[in-house]
Amino acid sequence: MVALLSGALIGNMFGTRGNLELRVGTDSCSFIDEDKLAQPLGFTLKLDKFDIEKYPTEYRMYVFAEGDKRYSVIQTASIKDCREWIPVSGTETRYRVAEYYPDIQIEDTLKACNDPSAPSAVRVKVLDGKAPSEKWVMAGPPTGVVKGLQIQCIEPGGHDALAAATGSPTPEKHLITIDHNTFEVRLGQTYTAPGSGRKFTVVEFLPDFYYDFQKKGAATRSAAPNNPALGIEETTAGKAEREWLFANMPGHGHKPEQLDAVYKYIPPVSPIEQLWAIDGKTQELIFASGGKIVLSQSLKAGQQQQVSIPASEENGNGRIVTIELQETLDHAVMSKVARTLSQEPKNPGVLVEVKRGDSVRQAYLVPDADSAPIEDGLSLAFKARSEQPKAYKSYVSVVNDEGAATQSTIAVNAPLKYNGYTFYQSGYRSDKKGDCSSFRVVNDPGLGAVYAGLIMVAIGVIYTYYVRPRQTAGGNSRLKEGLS
Amino acid sequence: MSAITPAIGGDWLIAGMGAYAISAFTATGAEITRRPRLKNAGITLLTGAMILNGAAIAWMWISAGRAPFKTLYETMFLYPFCIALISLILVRLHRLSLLVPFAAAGALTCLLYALWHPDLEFVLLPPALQSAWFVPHVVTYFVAYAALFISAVLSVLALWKGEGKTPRLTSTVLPFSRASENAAVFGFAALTLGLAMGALWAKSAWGEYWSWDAKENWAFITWLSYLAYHHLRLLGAWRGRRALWVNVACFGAVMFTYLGMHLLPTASSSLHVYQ
Repeated sequence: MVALLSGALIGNMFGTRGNLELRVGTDSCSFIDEDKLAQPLGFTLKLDKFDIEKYPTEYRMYVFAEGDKRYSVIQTASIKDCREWIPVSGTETRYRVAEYYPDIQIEDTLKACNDPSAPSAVRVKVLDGKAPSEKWVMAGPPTGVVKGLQIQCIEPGGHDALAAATGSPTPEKHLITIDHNTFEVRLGQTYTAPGSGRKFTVVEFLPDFYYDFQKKGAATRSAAPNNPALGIEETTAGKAEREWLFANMPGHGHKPEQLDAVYKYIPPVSPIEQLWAIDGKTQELIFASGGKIVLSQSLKAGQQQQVSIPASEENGNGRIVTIELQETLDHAVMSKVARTLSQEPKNPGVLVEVKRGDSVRQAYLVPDADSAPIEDGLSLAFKARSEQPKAYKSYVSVVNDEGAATQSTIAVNAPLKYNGYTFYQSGYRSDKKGDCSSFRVVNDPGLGAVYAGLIMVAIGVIYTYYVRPRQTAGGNSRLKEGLS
Repeated sequence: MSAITPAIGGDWLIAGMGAYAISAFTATGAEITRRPRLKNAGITLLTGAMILNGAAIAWMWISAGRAPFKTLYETMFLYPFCIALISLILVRLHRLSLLVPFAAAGALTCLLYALWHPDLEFVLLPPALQSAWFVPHVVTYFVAYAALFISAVLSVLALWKGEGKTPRLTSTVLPFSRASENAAVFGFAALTLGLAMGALWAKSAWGEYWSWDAKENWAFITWLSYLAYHHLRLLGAWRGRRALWVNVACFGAVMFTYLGMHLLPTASSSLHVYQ
């Protein structure tokens, strides 16, 4: 105990302690002690480099439960351990990681399905100059495949609609529904409402209606049909009453005595000059122009067809591109497909499967993006476990009086001892100028005495409680033996 | 992963709970029926549960790639192991089979707590804890805590078996109170050693023995209270039942140091507080 206390006392009285802060690339031959005074070290300490070693990033699957206000993790596993089915606690559901992509790229693709209501689709390869490109086209509106060329996928019987799309332009239409009767109206005409027989006149059309408070009247903001309104007038008892019908807001501002009409606006259609189409089911290539089907021929998979793109302001000079039919699907659904661009973990992602009973659902997951639903209130996410510091390391050089340099490192739990001084890694900071490392500098001549004291205390405790009682007990028994 | 709990080492946890529960059940039955063979079976089962517990710690050590003594959950595997080990040693030394059901129940409680607050993934070891001192410092403390738990249990048993309110201890109680004192002596020695190791670790990591961190202060308060107990139990007025009560109160300080740190406002800055 005396050794322990004297050691501590020596350390306190004769030792010095203080702090030293070094920026990377700088050195110091002194440190600042507790009294804020510079104390010479007798050598120079230079900070060559400061480094925060991190634990490697680990990718994990997390099951989240949706709470009142926040999500909480209810279970997690490293993706390495998720290759086998993992039960989700408290449910019948299991999940697994079916595929891991170190550098994932997810693309939309189409795949065949058994749903008879699903649209057909075709895959075409387009040779436009040097690089060929592949594109899926699903039955529906025309899809741009290369600049200036749109291809439409049609179902059998879609020829007429295709021809009409390239026909003459259709003007805007105003439809009015009164008492379940719908009819088209024109400006300036007077109509009789079916049922009530009330007469009304269509007087004005405003494509982008607003009420101008300065002019105290209806006006239009622009020519775009953002808020189409149709003004109708009804003459009752020699007095003309105007009413506005709004296509976007049926019944807005309607008064009970007014005509109960619903207005629908159909914008004008400016047609496409020409349109290439493929019928996915009959494998027909169709070309429509000027409201007519100009060409209709069979196009087998792998067969090529040259298509001309006419010159225009947008496309510049006209050119010829080649299209090749790759694949047709009678019924297709949109799905995603992933591949890895490299084996480096640059942009990791996984394909997960969630299984409940016999149904298996698949989903691609990338860190910090959407999660895959498991069941009510539970979802599955793929996350990178943030890099955490493994070590704070200062690489230093000690230069003595003779100019000889020794290189060393200082880390938490691994201080540097040199010439009676011990340097402990105590902190760091980073700013615009770079990293700055701080050290605790201690010169403690009493440390040996403290160690010796502690060992003596430990021996003393063992002696007092375990050795001495045994000796006295032994002595007593010997005494007893002697007496008997 | 266990289907019952998402905790890391969930299967080990469930198996360990089962093993401690069976030994607690058997040992309780043995004490009620006073059948020596059943008592031996209880001791054997507790030994088996302790070995299973040790294997669970080994599995966690290998899986985590570090000593599994970082989080509260992890220590809830170490603590029951130490409780079982110390109690089995004491049972052998003092022939107090009554200790077995209590030790098994104490160990089971730790694992129940672990099941209630499970760790779902291994926490990485921060730079400050990467030291050769980590394992001896923590293990010494848990050996101490286990011995002090056993000591407190023996004190309670002595108080329970004691007759009326007589402060003097009778012959039926004396073996329990002696064993309690012995466990407290051993626990105090381990507590001292753990404290010294912690101070030396701090010196080697930061250059200071002591940094007045909340847990350090409470560990010191705990140490002082046991120091007081060891002196009081030798004083005339505090001998007997009073000393037993003091022992139990001291264990309250141990529990606060172990589990109560997060209740303190200064806890967030402490290295010792379990997350």
